[in-house]
Amino acid sequence: MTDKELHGFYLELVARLQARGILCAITSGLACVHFQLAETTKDCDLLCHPQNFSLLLDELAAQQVGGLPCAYRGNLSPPLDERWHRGGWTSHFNWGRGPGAVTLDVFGRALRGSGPWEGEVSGLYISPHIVAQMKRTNRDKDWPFITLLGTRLVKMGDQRGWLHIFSEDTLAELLRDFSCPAELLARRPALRLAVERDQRVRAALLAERLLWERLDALRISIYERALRPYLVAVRRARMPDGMPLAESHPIRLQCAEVHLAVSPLRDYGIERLIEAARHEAIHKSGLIAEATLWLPDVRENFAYLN
Amino acid sequence: MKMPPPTPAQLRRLQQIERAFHVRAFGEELARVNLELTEAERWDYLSWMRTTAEHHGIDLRAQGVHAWMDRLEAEVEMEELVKETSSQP
Repeated sequence: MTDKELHGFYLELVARLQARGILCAITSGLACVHFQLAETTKDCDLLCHPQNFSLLLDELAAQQVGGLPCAYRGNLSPPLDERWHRGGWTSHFNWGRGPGAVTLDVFGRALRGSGPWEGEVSGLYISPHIVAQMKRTNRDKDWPFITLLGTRLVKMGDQRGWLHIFSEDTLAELLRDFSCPAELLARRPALRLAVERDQRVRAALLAERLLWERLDALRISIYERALRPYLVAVRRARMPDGMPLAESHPIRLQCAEVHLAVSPLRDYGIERLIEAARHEAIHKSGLIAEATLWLPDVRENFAYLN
Repeated sequence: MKMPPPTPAQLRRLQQIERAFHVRAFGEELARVNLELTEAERWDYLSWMRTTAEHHGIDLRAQGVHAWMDRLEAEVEMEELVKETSSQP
Protein backbone atom coordinates (compact mmCIF):
# COMPACT_ATOMS: atom_id res chain seq x y z
CA MET A 1 0.00 0.00 0.00
CA THR A 2 1.42 3.39 -0.96
CA ASP A 3 1.45 6.25 1.53
CA LYS A 4 -1.36 7.93 -0.36
CA GLU A 5 -3.45 4.75 -0.26
CA LEU A 6 -2.65 4.32 3.44
CA HIS A 7 -3.78 7.85 4.24
CA GLY A 8 -6.95 7.33 2.20
CA PHE A 9 -7.59 4.05 4.00
CA TYR A 10 -7.43 5.71 7.42
CA LEU A 11 -9.74 8.55 6.38
CA GLU A 12 -12.28 6.13 4.89
CA LEU A 13 -12.11 3.87 7.93
CA VAL A 14 -12.76 6.70 10.38
CA ALA A 15 -15.54 8.15 8.19
CA ARG A 16 -17.19 4.72 8.09
CA LEU A 17 -16.86 4.29 11.87
CA GLN A 18 -18.47 7.68 12.44
CA ALA A 19 -21.26 6.83 9.97
CA ARG A 20 -21.98 3.73 12.06
CA GLY A 21 -22.50 6.03 15.04
CA ILE A 22 -19.12 5.38 16.68
CA LEU A 23 -17.86 8.47 18.50
CA CYS A 24 -14.26 8.66 17.38
CA ALA A 25 -11.66 11.04 15.95
CA ILE A 26 -8.12 10.98 14.62
CA THR A 27 -5.47 12.40 16.95
CA SER A 28 -1.65 12.73 17.17
CA GLY A 29 0.52 12.63 14.03
CA LEU A 30 -2.17 12.35 11.35
CA ALA A 31 -4.09 15.17 13.00
CA CYS A 32 -0.92 17.27 13.00
CA VAL A 33 -0.54 16.87 9.23
CA HIS A 34 -4.16 18.01 8.87
CA PHE A 35 -3.35 21.03 11.08
CA GLN A 36 -0.47 22.09 8.76
CA LEU A 37 2.29 20.35 10.71
CA ALA A 38 4.18 17.76 8.70
CA GLU A 39 4.98 14.71 10.82
CA THR A 40 6.40 11.51 9.39
CA THR A 41 4.03 9.12 11.08
CA LYS A 42 2.70 5.95 9.48
CA ASP A 43 0.34 5.02 12.31
CA CYS A 44 -3.19 6.16 12.91
CA ASP A 45 -4.05 7.09 16.50
CA LEU A 46 -7.76 7.05 17.15
CA LEU A 47 -9.72 8.37 20.10
CA CYS A 48 -12.86 6.25 20.52
CA HIS A 49 -15.54 6.46 23.18
CA PRO A 50 -15.27 3.28 25.30
CA GLN A 51 -19.03 2.68 25.09
CA ASN A 52 -18.53 2.11 21.36
CA PHE A 53 -15.75 -0.45 21.75
CA SER A 54 -17.81 -3.51 20.82
CA LEU A 55 -19.04 -1.81 17.65
CA LEU A 56 -15.48 -0.79 16.83
CA LEU A 57 -14.26 -4.34 17.38
CA ASP A 58 -16.95 -5.65 15.00
CA GLU A 59 -15.95 -3.09 12.37
CA LEU A 60 -12.26 -3.91 12.67
CA ALA A 61 -12.98 -7.65 12.50
CA ALA A 62 -14.87 -7.10 9.24
CA GLN A 63 -12.20 -4.84 7.70
CA GLN A 64 -9.51 -6.47 5.58
CA VAL A 65 -6.48 -4.82 3.99
CA GLY A 66 -4.98 -6.56 0.97
CA GLY A 67 -6.76 -9.74 2.01
CA LEU A 68 -5.27 -9.58 5.51
CA PRO A 69 -7.53 -9.53 8.59
CA CYS A 70 -7.17 -7.09 11.45
CA ALA A 71 -5.38 -8.53 14.49
CA TYR A 72 -4.14 -7.35 17.85
CA ARG A 73 -0.52 -6.27 17.54
CA GLY A 74 1.90 -8.89 18.88
CA ASN A 75 1.43 -9.99 22.47
CA LEU A 76 1.60 -6.48 23.82
CA SER A 77 -1.83 -5.00 23.20
CA PRO A 78 -4.22 -4.72 26.11
CA PRO A 79 -7.78 -5.75 25.17
CA LEU A 80 -10.15 -3.18 23.72
CA ASP A 81 -12.22 -3.00 26.88
CA GLU A 82 -13.58 -0.04 28.80
CA ARG A 83 -12.17 -1.22 32.15
CA TRP A 84 -8.56 -0.98 31.06
CA HIS A 85 -8.99 2.12 28.92
CA ARG A 86 -10.49 3.94 31.90
CA GLY A 87 -7.18 3.14 33.57
CA GLY A 88 -5.15 4.77 30.81
CA TRP A 89 -4.31 1.72 28.70
CA THR A 90 -4.42 1.79 24.91
CA SER A 91 -5.14 -0.99 22.38
CA HIS A 92 -3.10 -1.72 19.27
CA PHE A 93 -4.10 -3.35 16.01
CA ASN A 94 -2.50 -4.14 12.71
CA TRP A 95 -3.15 -5.60 9.31
CA GLY A 96 -0.07 -7.58 8.29
CA ARG A 97 3.33 -7.42 9.98
CA GLY A 98 6.67 -5.73 9.56
CA PRO A 99 7.44 -2.34 8.02
CA GLY A 100 4.53 -2.59 5.56
CA ALA A 101 1.92 -3.25 8.27
CA VAL A 102 -1.08 -0.98 8.56
CA THR A 103 -1.52 -0.03 12.19
CA LEU A 104 -4.23 1.50 14.35
CA ASP A 105 -3.76 2.59 17.98
CA VAL A 106 -6.95 3.14 19.95
CA PHE A 107 -7.29 5.47 22.95
CA GLY A 108 -10.46 5.42 25.06
CA ARG A 109 -9.12 8.31 27.09
CA ALA A 110 -7.08 11.28 25.89
CA LEU A 111 -3.90 10.85 27.93
CA ARG A 112 -3.12 14.09 29.80
CA GLY A 113 -6.42 15.56 28.58
CA SER A 114 -7.77 17.98 31.16
CA GLY A 115 -11.39 17.46 30.16
CA PRO A 116 -13.62 15.17 28.09
CA TRP A 117 -12.49 14.96 24.47
CA GLU A 118 -15.91 13.94 23.18
CA GLY A 119 -17.08 17.54 22.68
CA GLU A 120 -13.97 18.47 20.71
CA VAL A 121 -14.47 16.43 17.55
CA SER A 122 -14.51 18.36 14.29
CA GLY A 123 -15.05 16.19 11.20
CA LEU A 124 -12.64 13.28 11.31
CA TYR A 125 -10.24 15.00 13.72
CA ILE A 126 -9.98 15.93 17.38
CA SER A 127 -9.24 19.56 18.23
CA PRO A 128 -5.65 20.92 18.28
CA HIS A 129 -6.10 21.53 22.04
CA ILE A 130 -6.50 17.81 22.77
CA VAL A 131 -3.67 16.89 20.37
CA ALA A 132 -1.37 19.39 22.13
CA GLN A 133 -2.20 17.92 25.54
CA MET A 134 -1.64 14.37 24.32
CA LYS A 135 1.71 15.36 22.82
CA ARG A 136 3.25 16.40 26.15
CA THR A 137 5.54 13.40 26.12
CA ASN A 138 9.17 12.75 26.93
CA ARG A 139 10.10 12.89 23.22
CA ASP A 140 11.97 16.01 22.07
CA LYS A 141 10.30 15.90 18.66
CA ASP A 142 6.82 16.59 20.09
CA TRP A 143 7.57 19.98 21.65
CA PRO A 144 7.76 22.24 18.57
CA PHE A 145 4.45 20.71 17.46
CA ILE A 146 2.85 21.69 20.78
CA THR A 147 3.85 25.33 20.38
CA LEU A 148 2.53 25.39 16.82
CA LEU A 149 -0.76 23.79 17.85
CA GLY A 150 -0.95 26.58 20.44
CA THR A 151 -0.46 29.34 17.88
CA ARG A 152 -3.02 27.67 15.63
CA LEU A 153 -5.58 27.74 18.47
CA VAL A 154 -4.93 31.43 19.11
CA LYS A 155 -5.41 32.05 15.39
CA MET A 156 -8.77 30.24 15.63
CA GLY A 157 -9.80 32.49 18.51
CA ASP A 158 -9.40 29.68 21.07
CA GLN A 159 -7.53 31.20 24.00
CA ARG A 160 -6.48 27.80 25.35
CA GLY A 161 -3.70 28.05 22.77
CA TRP A 162 -1.77 30.19 25.28
CA LEU A 163 -1.41 27.10 27.46
CA HIS A 164 0.61 25.37 24.76
CA ILE A 165 3.24 27.94 23.80
CA PHE A 166 6.62 26.70 25.02
CA SER A 167 8.83 29.07 23.02
CA GLU A 168 9.99 32.19 24.86
CA ASP A 169 10.37 34.13 21.59
CA THR A 170 6.92 33.20 20.33
CA LEU A 171 5.35 34.14 23.66
CA ALA A 172 7.09 37.53 23.60
CA GLU A 173 6.01 38.14 19.98
CA LEU A 174 2.40 37.22 20.77
CA LEU A 175 2.29 39.40 23.86
CA ARG A 176 3.47 42.42 21.87
CA ASP A 177 0.18 42.44 19.92
CA PHE A 178 -2.29 40.31 21.85
CA SER A 179 -3.41 39.99 25.44
CA CYS A 180 -3.59 36.76 27.35
CA PRO A 181 -6.73 36.19 29.49
CA ALA A 182 -6.10 36.68 33.22
CA GLU A 183 -7.62 33.29 34.00
CA LEU A 184 -4.84 31.59 32.07
CA LEU A 185 -2.12 33.60 33.83
CA ALA A 186 -3.36 32.13 37.10
CA ARG A 187 -3.23 28.62 35.68
CA ARG A 188 0.23 28.87 34.14
CA PRO A 189 2.96 30.70 36.07
CA ALA A 190 5.28 30.85 33.04
CA LEU A 191 2.65 32.93 31.22
CA ARG A 192 2.49 35.38 34.13
CA LEU A 193 6.27 35.80 34.02
CA ALA A 194 6.10 36.40 30.27
CA VAL A 195 3.42 39.07 30.68
CA GLU A 196 5.53 40.74 33.38
CA ARG A 197 8.56 40.56 31.06
CA ASP A 198 10.39 38.71 33.78
CA GLN A 199 13.72 37.37 32.56
CA ARG A 200 13.10 34.08 34.34
CA VAL A 201 10.45 33.11 31.78
CA ARG A 202 12.87 30.93 29.80
CA ALA A 203 13.75 28.93 32.92
CA ALA A 204 10.07 28.66 33.83
CA LEU A 205 9.17 27.27 30.38
CA LEU A 206 12.04 24.82 30.62
CA ALA A 207 10.96 23.72 34.11
CA GLU A 208 7.40 23.20 32.90
CA ARG A 209 8.53 21.14 29.92
CA LEU A 210 10.81 19.06 32.15
CA LEU A 211 7.87 18.39 34.45
CA TRP A 212 5.80 17.01 31.54
CA GLU A 213 8.72 14.94 30.31
CA ARG A 214 9.31 13.42 33.74
CA LEU A 215 5.57 12.76 34.20
CA ASP A 216 5.56 10.84 30.94
CA ALA A 217 8.76 8.91 31.67
CA LEU A 218 7.45 7.88 35.10
CA ARG A 219 4.05 6.96 33.64
CA ILE A 220 5.72 4.70 31.08
CA SER A 221 7.86 2.98 33.71
CA ILE A 222 4.73 2.27 35.81
CA TYR A 223 2.77 0.87 32.83
CA GLU A 224 5.79 -1.11 31.68
CA ARG A 225 5.98 -2.93 35.02
CA ALA A 226 2.25 -3.62 34.90
CA LEU A 227 2.30 -4.84 31.29
CA ARG A 228 5.07 -7.40 31.71
CA PRO A 229 3.07 -10.24 33.41
CA TYR A 230 0.23 -9.77 30.92
CA LEU A 231 2.64 -9.93 28.00
CA VAL A 232 4.05 -13.21 29.32
CA ALA A 233 0.53 -14.63 29.79
CA VAL A 234 -0.55 -13.68 26.25
CA ARG A 235 2.63 -15.17 24.83
CA ARG A 236 2.04 -18.41 26.72
CA ALA A 237 -1.51 -18.55 25.34
CA ARG A 238 0.20 -19.23 21.99
CA MET A 239 -2.32 -17.55 19.73
CA PRO A 240 -1.37 -18.01 16.08
CA ASP A 241 -0.39 -14.97 14.04
CA GLY A 242 -3.33 -13.20 12.50
CA MET A 243 -5.87 -15.02 14.69
CA PRO A 244 -9.30 -13.46 14.00
CA LEU A 245 -10.23 -10.75 16.47
CA ALA A 246 -13.43 -12.55 17.46
CA GLU A 247 -11.29 -15.45 18.74
CA SER A 248 -8.31 -13.60 20.16
CA HIS A 249 -10.26 -10.90 22.02
CA PRO A 250 -11.79 -13.23 24.66
CA ILE A 251 -8.39 -14.83 25.26
CA ARG A 252 -6.80 -11.40 25.81
CA LEU A 253 -9.61 -10.50 28.16
CA GLN A 254 -8.99 -13.65 30.21
CA CYS A 255 -5.26 -12.89 30.37
CA ALA A 256 -5.95 -9.26 31.34
CA GLU A 257 -8.44 -10.19 34.07
CA VAL A 258 -5.74 -12.21 35.81
CA HIS A 259 -2.51 -10.46 34.86
CA LEU A 260 -3.13 -6.81 33.91
CA ALA A 261 -3.77 -4.17 36.56
CA VAL A 262 -6.72 -2.06 35.46
CA SER A 263 -5.29 1.30 36.50
CA PRO A 264 -1.62 1.12 37.47
CA LEU A 265 -1.20 4.88 37.65
CA ARG A 266 -4.12 5.32 40.03
CA ASP A 267 -2.76 2.40 42.10
CA TYR A 268 0.62 4.13 42.22
CA GLY A 269 -1.00 7.39 43.28
CA ILE A 270 -1.44 10.52 41.15
CA GLU A 271 -0.18 12.86 43.88
CA ARG A 272 2.85 10.63 44.37
CA LEU A 273 3.53 10.60 40.62
CA ILE A 274 3.29 14.40 40.38
CA GLU A 275 5.50 14.90 43.42
CA ALA A 276 8.16 12.55 42.02
CA ALA A 277 8.05 14.27 38.61
CA ARG A 278 8.29 17.74 40.17
CA HIS A 279 11.30 16.60 42.20
CA GLU A 280 13.03 15.13 39.15
CA ALA A 281 12.19 18.14 36.96
CA ILE A 282 13.71 20.64 39.36
CA HIS A 283 16.20 19.11 41.75
CA LYS A 284 17.64 16.37 39.55
CA SER A 285 17.90 18.79 36.62
CA GLY A 286 19.96 21.30 38.52
CA LEU A 287 17.35 24.06 38.33
CA ILE A 288 17.10 26.43 41.27
CA ALA A 289 14.57 25.48 43.94
CA GLU A 290 12.53 28.60 43.15
CA ALA A 291 11.57 26.95 39.86
CA THR A 292 9.08 24.79 41.78
CA LEU A 293 6.93 27.92 42.05
CA TRP A 294 6.75 28.20 38.27
CA LEU A 295 5.25 24.75 37.73
CA PRO A 296 1.53 24.54 36.88
CA ASP A 297 -0.93 22.40 38.79
CA VAL A 298 -1.23 19.34 36.55
CA ARG A 299 -3.74 17.34 38.59
CA GLU A 300 -6.55 18.11 36.12
CA ASN A 301 -4.50 16.37 33.42
CA PHE A 302 -4.89 13.09 35.30
CA ALA A 303 -8.60 13.46 36.05
CA TYR A 304 -9.27 11.13 33.13
CA LEU A 305 -8.29 8.28 35.45
CA ASN A 306 -11.18 8.99 37.82
CA MET B 1 -12.41 30.08 26.06
CA LYS B 2 -13.58 31.34 22.69
CA MET B 3 -12.79 34.87 21.63
CA PRO B 4 -13.97 36.65 18.49
CA PRO B 5 -11.86 35.54 15.52
CA PRO B 6 -8.84 37.76 14.87
CA THR B 7 -9.22 40.73 12.52
CA PRO B 8 -7.42 40.45 9.14
CA ALA B 9 -4.55 42.56 10.50
CA GLN B 10 -4.28 40.41 13.63
CA LEU B 11 -4.42 37.28 11.50
CA ARG B 12 -1.54 38.53 9.34
CA ARG B 13 0.51 39.21 12.48
CA LEU B 14 -0.31 35.75 13.88
CA GLN B 15 0.76 34.18 10.59
CA GLN B 16 4.09 36.04 10.78
CA ILE B 17 4.66 34.80 14.34
CA GLU B 18 3.71 31.28 13.34
CA ARG B 19 6.00 31.31 10.33
CA ALA B 20 8.91 32.64 12.39
CA PHE B 21 8.55 29.73 14.81
CA HIS B 22 8.23 27.21 11.96
CA VAL B 23 11.52 28.47 10.53
CA ARG B 24 13.27 28.42 13.93
CA ALA B 25 11.97 24.93 14.80
CA PHE B 26 12.03 23.10 11.47
CA GLY B 27 13.81 25.28 8.93
CA GLU B 28 12.67 27.18 5.84
CA GLU B 29 11.85 24.10 3.77
CA LEU B 30 9.40 22.59 6.24
CA ALA B 31 7.91 26.01 6.94
CA ARG B 32 7.03 26.16 3.26
CA VAL B 33 5.71 22.58 3.28
CA ASN B 34 3.51 23.34 6.26
CA LEU B 35 2.29 26.79 5.39
CA GLU B 36 2.24 26.98 1.61
CA LEU B 37 1.34 23.50 0.35
CA THR B 38 -2.12 22.00 0.28
CA GLU B 39 -2.79 19.02 2.56
CA ALA B 40 -2.53 16.64 -0.44
CA GLU B 41 0.82 18.16 -1.46
CA ARG B 42 2.01 17.90 2.15
CA TRP B 43 1.17 14.18 2.11
CA ASP B 44 3.18 13.75 -1.10
CA TYR B 45 6.15 15.48 0.51
CA LEU B 46 5.85 13.30 3.63
CA SER B 47 5.65 10.22 1.47
CA TRP B 48 8.94 11.18 -0.16
CA MET B 49 10.48 11.80 3.30
CA ARG B 50 9.31 8.43 4.63
CA THR B 51 10.48 6.53 1.56
CA THR B 52 13.90 8.16 1.78
CA ALA B 53 14.14 7.46 5.52
CA GLU B 54 13.17 3.80 5.08
CA HIS B 55 15.55 3.44 2.14
CA HIS B 56 18.33 4.45 4.54
CA GLY B 57 17.25 1.91 7.14
CA ILE B 58 15.44 4.26 9.52
CA ASP B 59 12.60 2.58 11.38
CA LEU B 60 10.03 5.34 11.85
CA ARG B 61 7.93 3.19 14.17
CA ALA B 62 10.88 2.92 16.57
CA GLN B 63 10.33 6.63 17.27
CA GLY B 64 6.64 6.18 17.97
CA VAL B 65 4.98 7.00 21.24
CA HIS B 66 4.32 3.31 21.88
CA ALA B 67 7.86 2.18 21.01
CA TRP B 68 8.43 1.28 24.67
CA MET B 69 5.81 -1.47 24.29
CA ASP B 70 7.64 -2.97 21.31
CA ARG B 71 10.94 -2.87 23.22
CA LEU B 72 9.29 -4.58 26.20
CA GLU B 73 7.80 -7.28 24.00
CA ALA B 74 11.21 -8.02 22.43
CA GLU B 75 12.77 -8.19 25.92
CA VAL B 76 10.09 -10.55 27.26
CA GLU B 77 10.33 -12.71 24.14
CA MET B 78 14.08 -13.12 24.72
CA GLU B 79 13.63 -13.95 28.42
CA GLU B 80 10.94 -16.51 27.68
CA LEU B 81 13.03 -18.13 24.96
CA VAL B 82 15.97 -18.45 27.36
CA LYS B 83 13.67 -20.02 29.98
CA GLU B 84 12.26 -22.47 27.44
CA THR B 85 15.70 -23.41 26.16
CA SER B 86 17.15 -23.91 29.63
CA SER B 87 14.21 -26.05 30.77
CA GLN B 88 14.63 -28.48 27.87
CA PRO B 89 16.38 -31.74 28.83
